[in-house]
Amino acid sequence: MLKLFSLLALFVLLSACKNPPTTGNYIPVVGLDSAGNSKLNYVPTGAFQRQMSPFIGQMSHAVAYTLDQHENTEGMPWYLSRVTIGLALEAKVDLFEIAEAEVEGDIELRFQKAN
Amino acid sequence: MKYLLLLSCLLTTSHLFAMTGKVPSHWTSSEVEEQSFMKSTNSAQMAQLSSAYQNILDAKAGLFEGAETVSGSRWFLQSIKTEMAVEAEGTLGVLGVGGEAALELVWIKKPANPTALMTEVAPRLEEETTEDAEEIQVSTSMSEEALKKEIAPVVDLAMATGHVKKRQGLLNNLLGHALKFQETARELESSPVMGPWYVYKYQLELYVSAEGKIALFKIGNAVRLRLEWYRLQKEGVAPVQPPMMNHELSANAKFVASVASDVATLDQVPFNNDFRLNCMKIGVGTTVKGNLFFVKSKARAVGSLFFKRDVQEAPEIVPQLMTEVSDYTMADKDSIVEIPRWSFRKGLQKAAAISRFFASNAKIKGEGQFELSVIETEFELYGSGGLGLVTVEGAAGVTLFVTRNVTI
Repeated sequence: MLKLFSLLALFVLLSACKNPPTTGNYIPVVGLDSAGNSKLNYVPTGAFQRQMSPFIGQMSHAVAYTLDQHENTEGMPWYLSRVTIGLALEAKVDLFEIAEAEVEGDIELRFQKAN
Repeated sequence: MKYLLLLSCLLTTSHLFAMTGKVPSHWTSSEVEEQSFMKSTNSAQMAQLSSAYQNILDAKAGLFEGAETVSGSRWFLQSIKTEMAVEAEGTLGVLGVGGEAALELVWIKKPANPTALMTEVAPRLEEETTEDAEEIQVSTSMSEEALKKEIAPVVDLAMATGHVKKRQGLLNNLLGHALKFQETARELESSPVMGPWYVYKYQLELYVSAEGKIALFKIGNAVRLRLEWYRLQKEGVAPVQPPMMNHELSANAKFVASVASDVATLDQVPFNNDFRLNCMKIGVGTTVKGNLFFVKSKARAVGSLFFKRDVQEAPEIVPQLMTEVSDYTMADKDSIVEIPRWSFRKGLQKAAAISRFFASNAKIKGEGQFELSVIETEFELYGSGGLGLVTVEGAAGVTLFVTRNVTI
């Protein structure tokens, strides 16, 4: 009976690791593996927000500051009015990180110049 | 005692068995049966999916809280685009690396001052969703000289790379494509508008190689160009042109008029949360003669047709069907299939109902916060004519745009 109990407990633990609940603490990340097959990872919501939120905040400040330094030349017919920056994210086992530039990303920031 | 222990253990860990947020299987298939969709909307699975979707939206919204504009800056973060995908088994999640997105979500910052809402121009869908490319605007009234003037700056851009040697050759090549594109645009402009929906934009992607060759598909480090035609905006209620005889219309005019009347079936699906379904995009290919047809995948499409809803209120005009058209042609990899039109119409209704689900679960945000304002839902078009939410392994060919506080 003890063996049965141990096996069941192990099954519960394995199931939990493989298939954690999405509502609450985990976010599923869907992508493709190198063979082109669908793959599914889970990242803790807290880690997702802790890592990405400051990054997006810093990025938005830095880009706005840099663009502010850009002065349009008087009389030129063309001027910069809009900038789009794509962030490529890669889901590892438990964290997101900025991936290679050529990899498709999940987040795109669009900056606009005030009138 | 042992059984009691085992039972209590299972009960306390039962939440770990909780299903992840999975979309119903018929959402990602060609199934067009409406009954099963309605049935599923009341199921526990839908509650689970709703909860999982909300969880992801909340997590994403939390990311933007630190994205404040520096005081006094002339530049500001206007919007943020994020993506979600559906895994092969149906699990909804954030899109990681690779694969097709099922949802593209645009979060637009609401003005901090409520009165600004009254004076500021609402963001335009075009600006929030269009991918960057060098655009060549083509109107049906442009002369060949005017077209050349429009193309010249793009040719200069290609020349500036230093790889293109023959300026005149590239100019002639581009002009040839532009003239052919203009011909198609004329046919689209002649299509009758028989209801609230009409084709308002046609885009054709071109790729110029370093050697100056033009291709319809991406090649190496090609410069990406886009030929673009807009139908003139119409004011007020939907315009009704005098009925034309079917034989007077070109194949392309019939095609877009038929699809437009099919899209009107979307209006039967009510939306809430201030959202409106008012734009649809389809991927198209062209025959040697220039006739348009559906393409299963955006990646294989050479062009895109955009349909929009012209009126603000519920349509009073009942769209007439182009009864002559009973099938559409679709290219799928190496084969050409005829898809029944009735099936396509049923598929559109199902697609609208799926889009409605995602819009219904989007929260309304306060002033100064990023609010989910555009939901692009991507669908796969099947050989049967049915539509299903695209999975990460799939190929999207039809996009529905659901928007709020955005002009089109």
